[in-house]
Parts: sequence; structure tokens; C-alpha cells
Amino acid sequence: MDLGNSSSMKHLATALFLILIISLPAGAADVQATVDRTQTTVNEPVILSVTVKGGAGDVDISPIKDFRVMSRGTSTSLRVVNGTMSRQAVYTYALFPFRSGRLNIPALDVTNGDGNAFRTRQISIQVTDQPAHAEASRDVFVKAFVSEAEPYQGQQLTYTFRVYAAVSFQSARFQQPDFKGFSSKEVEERKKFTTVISGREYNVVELVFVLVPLKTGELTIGPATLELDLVRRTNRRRSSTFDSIFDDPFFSRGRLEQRSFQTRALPVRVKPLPDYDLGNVAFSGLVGAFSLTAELEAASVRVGDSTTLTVTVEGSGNIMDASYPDVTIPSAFKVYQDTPEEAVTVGPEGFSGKKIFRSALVAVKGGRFTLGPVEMSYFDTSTGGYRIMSADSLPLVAEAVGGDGASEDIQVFSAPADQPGLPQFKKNKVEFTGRDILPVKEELDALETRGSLSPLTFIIILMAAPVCFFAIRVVGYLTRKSTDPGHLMAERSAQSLKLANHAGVADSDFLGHIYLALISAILSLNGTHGESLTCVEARQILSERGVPESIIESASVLLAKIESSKYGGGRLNADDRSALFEETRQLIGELGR
Amino acid sequence: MRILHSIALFILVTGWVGTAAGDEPARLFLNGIQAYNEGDYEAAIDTFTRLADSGVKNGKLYYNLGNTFLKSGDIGPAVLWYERAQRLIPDDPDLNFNLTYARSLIEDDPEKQGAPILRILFFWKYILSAATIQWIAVSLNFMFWGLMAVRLFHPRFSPPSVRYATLGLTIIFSLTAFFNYYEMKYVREAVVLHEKASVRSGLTPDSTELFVLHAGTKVRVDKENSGFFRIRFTDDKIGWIAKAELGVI
Repeated sequence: MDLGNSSSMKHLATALFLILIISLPAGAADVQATVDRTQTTVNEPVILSVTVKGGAGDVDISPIKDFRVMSRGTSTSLRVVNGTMSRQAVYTYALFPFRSGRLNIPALDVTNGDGNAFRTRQISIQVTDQPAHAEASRDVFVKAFVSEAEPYQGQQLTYTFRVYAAVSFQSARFQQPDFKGFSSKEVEERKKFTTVISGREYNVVELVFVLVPLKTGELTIGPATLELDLVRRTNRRRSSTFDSIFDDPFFSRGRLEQRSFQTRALPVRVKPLPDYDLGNVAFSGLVGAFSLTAELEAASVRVGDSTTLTVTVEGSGNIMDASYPDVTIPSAFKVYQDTPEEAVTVGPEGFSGKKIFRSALVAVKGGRFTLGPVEMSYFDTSTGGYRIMSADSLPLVAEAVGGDGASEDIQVFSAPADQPGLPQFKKNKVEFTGRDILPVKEELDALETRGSLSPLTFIIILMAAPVCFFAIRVVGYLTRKSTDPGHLMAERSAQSLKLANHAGVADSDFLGHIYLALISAILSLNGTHGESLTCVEARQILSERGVPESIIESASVLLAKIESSKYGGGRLNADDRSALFEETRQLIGELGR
Repeated sequence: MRILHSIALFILVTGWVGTAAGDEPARLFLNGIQAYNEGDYEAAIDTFTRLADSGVKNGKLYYNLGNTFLKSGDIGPAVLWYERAQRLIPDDPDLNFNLTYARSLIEDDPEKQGAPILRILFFWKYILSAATIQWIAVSLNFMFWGLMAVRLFHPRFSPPSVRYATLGLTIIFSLTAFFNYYEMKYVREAVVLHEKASVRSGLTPDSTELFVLHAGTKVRVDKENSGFFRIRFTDDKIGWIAKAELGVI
């Protein structure tokens, strides 16, 4: 190659540069934070996107203090360009400004999958207050308000959230505010209506929550948020009469634009109830507007019979908290209270309905009596004061059983319902009249730790039993073997052979040992004890045990030889002694096989 | 004589120290009872918690902690300690009464329990503590192998029907004990401690709130990650919740 050629040098440099670019690692990370706008209003979120090139990462959003942050999810993409693979993850957040002014999204730390740390740059956002006249210029906006900004404790109020939309939308996702300090209940029926604002028609969806303040003081209902997809139609064709038919994103290929909205936080000042000043009637705890009626099923009953007193409390407010009203009942009647019946509904105006209290009055004494009056006090939110609602006194006559006008007392007992001749009473389910827990345990054994066994200990203890069992078996087996005659005879045979082999043993003793060794070996096959055997007996035993005839013959001959030497009285030379011992040892070995 | 005197003194001193050390938890416990009875629930909580933290694992102590938290109006920790007690003394009537009452105060509808048929079929698992089941399994096991040993020497005293019945019960209780171990290790349950706890879609405090649980509600813990538990309330309600919001049973 001619290195002096400048054109060739340029081509070489270009090629090397390209190779260098292509050989860069595919996972090289790059982090970038972008926003969809740098100017917004307090009700409109800014969409923050953090792009991590080279793979997934961990974005630390904790430094963001000027905005309420809601995650909008993560998208990842993988691209292959000219054989080079690149990955990218985009983390999206909706940032709702806490206030107006110039707010900052600070630099965010991002850690990628390899543990490398990166930092985005700081972004400034100009946030302005929402101008009052701006609503009409917007396609969609939200509003929230409460029915009563300064309620009394226990007074119900409503929280209304409305979304106004002049364009179509779908996939609405509503997140209700934090009703801390209130009990809340959403009105199930959502209202939809149409309204015109500054000449523009809006479809309105209304959600209502009934709230009851649980404590007094300055409370705040947090912002509610709504995310939805606006349908933006693409202008691909001219308007026609079929537009209305196909005015649907399914047909119109409309583009979807994700938007988020947030209402303002609403302050509520909850006032305490004033001091109770109606000392003659106890405060019932009801707050709202109520009325009360009372009626008797029958104004005249016979002694022993019953009539029903029905007291109905009706109105709006915390009607469900109403308890049995105090009614003065003459002692001539036994009173049996029934479980109250509730018919309470929740609507846009709050809780309303009635609660009915029924009592069975059983006359136990004749005479003319007056029930009541029935009185109940409540706090009237419209006047801001306590009121007493009451029902007139009710006359009630109890007629004596004899019918002659004379008083006749009777006793009321609990009795089986099917007992004839006695009044029938409705049996009531036993209800708790008060709720509390049972007392603490005072025994000092509460200080003893009673944990369960560890798995290993449990297994070891479980295994201990079978191990003991098999140990018993082994011991038993060994013990049984030592008492077995066959085993004992075999042992004696081996022992006698061993004694016979000792040097310096006298001939008579030698012959006695090998004799005993031989007959013990034969007896061990039979499994019996014995001290001597004749040749015939030995033959019989060996034959019964299936020993080959050649061995039987050898044993018979050897036994006869030992006996003749033993009882012959002759002396054995060393060779004879050795040959006799060897012959006996071999035979015993063959018998043992 | 002097040696004997020294030994006696040593025994007296070490014995006294040992007794004093042993009396300390008892004294604390009695102080806790007294504080509870006098309505000083903060002091009672402090005392019983110290005993539990010192390593005492006892259903009665846990029950007392449940009572004390409930009396102080803290429903979340109350249910947590009752649930812990129930694992140790599931058949205690006082505990079951109080736990039922505490559950009635929980704002959320309870999670669906296991299939009732399983609770009927495997009733012993639900009415006996894990320790009791273990010791029953061990006792039955010894009984079975004892019968096997007796059979070796006196077969008449070890009839097959008794051996088979004992073996069957041994297997049932041993398997139950092993299942309890599995449950303790892999099936974690927890109770919401705070008044309200947001269950979110992700591992950051700003992730979308999926649903809200209230104090005392029991959930299953699937996994944990970066200071969060992934919990399962029902089959269709799962999400991430900060660890500090829960107490693991």
C-alpha cells in the first residue's frame, strides 16, 4: 500500500472511524429528562419523561418537592439498526403543581441496571393561576366543591366532583381525594347532564360523596385527580352526513391524547356543637333535621295480652345513630323491645330515611294509663341549636281478665311457646347489650416461651423411635444367636480345634479336642446339643442334612480313626498328629460350607 | 469449717442473684397487669412489649398485648398480636372472643377464608397449635414403634388393628406438622397497622394508588422489595405497600 497516497489515507481513516462507532457497546447508557411544556397552570400537570438509553434504570424522584408526582408507567423499546442493538426505557410521570410561580424539577439521580449512576438536568416550569374566564376555552376541565364549608361536627355535607367535557373522551380513571377526618360514602348514582358555558356546550359527569366530619377544626379535603384519554379526530376526510354515525374513535381512527386533571384542595372548618342546654331531655346524638311519631297498635288490651308501641324517627342526617327513645311506660306493663328497623338511603342530599323502634307491651295489671310523651332531642343544623321533637301522650286501657271491671293482676313468666293457656311471646335473638373484650390473663405462665420444635429437632425426635426399635431388634437377634444350639456347637467346634492345635498338648487331650471338634461340627448341622456321637448317628445326621455321601464317608472314617486312637492307647508321632489334625480341619471346613 | 462457711455463703449469694434475675420478668408482667387494670394502657403496652421483645413467645402474653392495644384504640396492632397469639393458642376461648370483637371493628370486609370444606376435613389443623400437633405426632410415633417392639416379644398385646390405626394417625399428624412448617416459612401473612394504608401499583410512594386498606385488615405477603411488600388481599386485589404499614404475623 502506498502510504503516501492521501486519498487512501482518508478512506482508511473513515473505515476505522466507522468500525469504532459500530463496535461501541450496545448497552452504553445515556439519560435524559424532558417535559411536554415549560408553562402550565396550577390545575394542569406537566408530563415528565425520563429516558434511559441502554436498558432499564432506577429513577429517584424523591427530590421533586414542588409537584405531586403520579407515575404514568414505563415503556421500553428495542431497536436493531445495522446489526447494532439498542435498548431504551422511558419513565413517565404526571407532575401536578402545588402552587403558582416558577417551580423547579431538580436534577434526578438515575441508576441503570449495571449500577452506574447518572443525573438529569434541572428543569424550570412557570406555573400560573387558572384565569376565571379560561374555562370556556378548554375542551375538558374539572371542578370540586363542598355543600357546606363550615359544618358542625357530625353534620353531613356533600363533596361534588364534576368533569366538564366539550369533546369525547374514554378510559377515565378517577382517584378520589383523601377524606381524612371525615367518614365518606359515595352516592352510587352518578349524575350526567349538559350545560352551556360562554356559549359552548359541555357534557358533565357528577360524582357526589356524602361526608360526616369526625373531628372539629380546620380540615382539608385533598385534591382529586382524573386521568383520561381525549379523542382527537384526524382531519382525513370532509364532513358528511355519516359523521354522526361514525363519530366514534372505533370508526374514526381518532388519535388518543392522555391528559390528567386535578382539583384544588378544599378547606373545611368544622365547628364543635354548642353546649347542650336542654337539660330535661338527654341529647340523642342526632345532627340534622328530624321528626318523630309514636303510635299504639291498640289503645285497649286485656291483661296478659300485648300491644305494640311504634316510634318512628324520620329525617336527614345521621339517622342510623338513633337509639331507643326514652318513653315513660307505666309499671303495669312489661316491655319487650324489638330490633330497630332501618330504612336509610344515601343520595345527593346525604343520608335520609327513617328508623322504626317497636316495643311489645304486655299488660300485667288492669287500669287506665297514659304512655309518654315520647321525646327526643337533636341538633338542628338549619338553626344551629338543639331542638326537642316529641309525640303526644298515648292513652292505653288494660282490661281485667274477668271482664267485670275489677282489677286482676297476673304474673308474666317465660314459658315454652307451645304451652297452652299461656300468652305466646315472640322469642328474641339474644343480642349484645354492650360490647367489650374479656380481661387480660394474669397467670405467670404467660412468661414461659412455648415455641414449636424446629424442623430438624422434630425429625430427630421422630426418627428416635424407629432407631430404638431397630436397636431392640438387633440386640434381640444377637441374643437369639448366642442361645441357638447350632451356633453354640459351631463355636465349640472351632474352639476345640484351636485347643488341639496348641503345641505341647498331650495325645489324649489332642484326641479329645479333635473328637469334640468333629462331633460338634456335625451336631451344629443338626442344631442340637451333645457330647458324643456314634458313627451311625453321625451318618444319620449328615445324611438327613443332605451332605454329600463322600463327605459322610470321610467323616465316618475319620471319627472311627479318632475313636480308635483315643481308646487304643497308642502314642501318636508328630506326623500322624499333624495329618490327623489337618484331616479334621479340612472336614470341618467342608461340613461348614 | 471456714471452707464450709464459704461454700454456704456462695450458694446463698448465687441463689439470691438467680432468683432476683428470674423475678424481673414476673415483676414487669405484674406491673403491666396493674397498669392495664388501672387504665394506663401506654404503660401496659410498654411493659408487655418489652417482655415480648426479650424473647418470650407465649400466646397469653400476646393476647394481653392485643387487649392492651385494643383498649388504647389501636386496632391494627391489636389484631396483629391477637393473630400471633392465635398461632400459639388457637383454641383459647377468650382469645377467640376478643379477636372476633376486634375483627368486627375493622373497616374492610374480611378476606375470604379458605374453603370451609377444608376447614372441616382438616379440623385438627385449625383447632390445635403447631406445637401441639408436633407433640401429638411424636407421641403417636413412639406409640406405634412401641407396639412394634411389643409385637416382637408378645404379639398378643399388639393387635394389627391397633398398630395400623396408630400408624395412620402418626402419618396424618406428621404430615400436618410438616405442612405447618411449610406454611410458616412460605405463607406469610400480615396485618395493616395504620388507620389507612395505600396499596400502590409500584415501589414508589407516588405510584398510582390502587386501593386503600384499613387498620386490622389481614393480607398475604407474596414478596418484598426495596422497603415494600407485594401483598394480596383477594385474588383480584394485589399491589405494593410500604413495609412500615404492615406487621407480619
